[in-house]
Amino acid sequence: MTQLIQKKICMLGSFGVGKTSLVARFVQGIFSAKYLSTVGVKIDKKQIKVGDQDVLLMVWDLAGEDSRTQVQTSYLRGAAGYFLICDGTWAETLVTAKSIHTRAIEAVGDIPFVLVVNKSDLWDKWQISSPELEQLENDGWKIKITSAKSGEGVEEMFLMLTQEVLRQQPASDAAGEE
Amino acid sequence: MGSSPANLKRDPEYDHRHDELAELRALLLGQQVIELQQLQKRLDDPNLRAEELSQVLARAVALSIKRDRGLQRSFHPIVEQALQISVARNPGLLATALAPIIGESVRKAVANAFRSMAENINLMLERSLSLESMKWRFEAMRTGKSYGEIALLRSLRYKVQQVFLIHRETGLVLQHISAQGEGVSEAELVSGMLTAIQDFVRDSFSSKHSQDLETMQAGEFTIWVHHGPQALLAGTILGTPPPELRNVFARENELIHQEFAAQLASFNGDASAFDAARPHLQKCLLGQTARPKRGAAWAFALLALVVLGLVAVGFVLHRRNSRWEHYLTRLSNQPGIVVTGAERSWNRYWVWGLRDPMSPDPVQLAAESGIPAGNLEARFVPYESLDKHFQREREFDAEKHKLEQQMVLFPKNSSVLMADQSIRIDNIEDSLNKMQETADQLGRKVHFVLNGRADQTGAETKNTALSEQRAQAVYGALLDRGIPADMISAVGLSDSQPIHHGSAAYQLEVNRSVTLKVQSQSQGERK
Repeated sequence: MTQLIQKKICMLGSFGVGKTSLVARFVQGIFSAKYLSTVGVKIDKKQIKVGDQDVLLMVWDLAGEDSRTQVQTSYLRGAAGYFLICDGTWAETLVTAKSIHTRAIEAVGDIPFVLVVNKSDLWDKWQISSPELEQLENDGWKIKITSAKSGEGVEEMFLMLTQEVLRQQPASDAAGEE
Repeated sequence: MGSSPANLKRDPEYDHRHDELAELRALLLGQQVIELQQLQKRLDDPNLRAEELSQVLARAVALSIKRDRGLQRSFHPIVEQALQISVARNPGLLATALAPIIGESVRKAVANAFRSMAENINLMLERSLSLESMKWRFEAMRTGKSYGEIALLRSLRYKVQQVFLIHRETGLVLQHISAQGEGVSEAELVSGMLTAIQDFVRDSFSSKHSQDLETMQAGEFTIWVHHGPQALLAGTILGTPPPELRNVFARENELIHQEFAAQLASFNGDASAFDAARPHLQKCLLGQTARPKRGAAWAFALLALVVLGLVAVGFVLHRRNSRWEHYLTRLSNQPGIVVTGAERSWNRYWVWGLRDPMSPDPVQLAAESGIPAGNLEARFVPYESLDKHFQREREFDAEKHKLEQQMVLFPKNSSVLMADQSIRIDNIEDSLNKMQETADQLGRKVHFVLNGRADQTGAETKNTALSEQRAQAVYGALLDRGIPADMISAVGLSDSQPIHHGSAAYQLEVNRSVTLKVQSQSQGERK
């Protein structure tokens, strides 16, 4: 199994949590960020290696959610996994991430995901408590603390999700057609 | 089996007898009892009944259909409801099943529509006559295609530059090819974005799943997408693609769906399974290259040349025509020429009529008018014109002839006018006056030269003086008679130009004389 395989993954989260910055840290792309505001999505790609397997990640960066607009879950169709991104200095964004998670399950079922808590470079302003994250981890959530600014944890978060995706591959294939 | 348990307990005798009876019954009825029990079981057990029924159901339905249409009527509402439920639950399933049929019939309908459109264009174009249309007509004749088809084909210029096969569900690219020299390294991103835009349009403007985005226009690029149930076939096209191209995309996508049904259903991101689909994509990579500009320029140059040629020929014809007209007018206005007929062909001319010999030569006149003498045949019958001008000319000529015959004779070695010569001087004077008058009427200048001569006898120097003196003698006599001095002049010719060359006496006598020479010029000629 040395053949290159492609996987679609999505970036979900509140407006302003740094999704696009995280993607920009990681990928090569040809579309400018203005696609996000017009079409509501920007697509980039990144090739990574998990074990022997080369994987081409198609990263769908969906427009952020705020009080007026919700994430368009139709863009999730066909995704192999997704990131829920929140801002560590802004507790409300974790609430939003949880609600997006619920809607994502409704739309595409139970597929791999990773909760990304961004802005680790601003520890002093941190609002999300460790026990809260520990509780989620106990519930089976995969969690990664990152900083788009320093690049900390960015590679790892993509690797983590890809490993999850490849592990669950047979199951996700079976659930492919609704 | 049928007896009550109370009786069995109370009476052992009965039991014994009953056993005997059962034994008897088993002996007598044996097999039937077992069959009866089995029959009972078959009727009571629903699973067994269903299994048995399933074995004969197909045959029963077939028999029923053969007998009458009752079964169809009974099934009708059930099938209808079942379909409704199926569509409500998963419209994709039925759509997938119907796609091949619908695709085919829609394609036929579309092809028909375009055929009729081509016929309309045919009609329209038949009314317009251009060099282009002639060429198309010829090509249609040569290839046996309809004129409209050729016109449609020739008016369209397009090139399919890239073809993408995209997985519908994930938006991942399954296969991608591009025309030579049109490389795209980001096919994955392009196909992903194409899918995203499809989703965007579907979510934003239409609630129905069936309303897909099929055409996108971006400047000179057109993006065509054919939607299959599992995969999209998209092409970027430069220029104006013909409608037939859609059929090509549809056909190839349907073939891909047939050949790769299993791979499409189980696609997990490994696109290598679709390498074998490349020939299908290749078939979509069509193009109608525009005719080279050089050809158009050449045609234009030819047209210009033809126009120029026509203009030149027109000019030449016009010039020839006007020259001929001008010549005939001039000829007709000429005194002493009567034109009775004229004709011309491409470059030959004929003219005929009457001509006074004194009038100018028609062939000479033609040359002056720019008509080559070699191409002109002039047939003129000579006649004497009664025109006054010609009468005077004749008078003048006659008088001139008469005058130049006049001769004043002198004795040997003398320049004295003899008395018998005075009558001749009188005649000369008359002639001079008459000729001067006629010359005035004809608008001519006239001058008379008196030529004095001596015979060849004697010394030459003597003769020269003698000839001059003789001319002077006649000159003086004419002046005396009132002839103006500027009208005449006297010249001594010595013995160099004798009237007769012999040396007989009469010949020598004639050479001792004065004669006249008329010099005349028309006014125009002088200038």
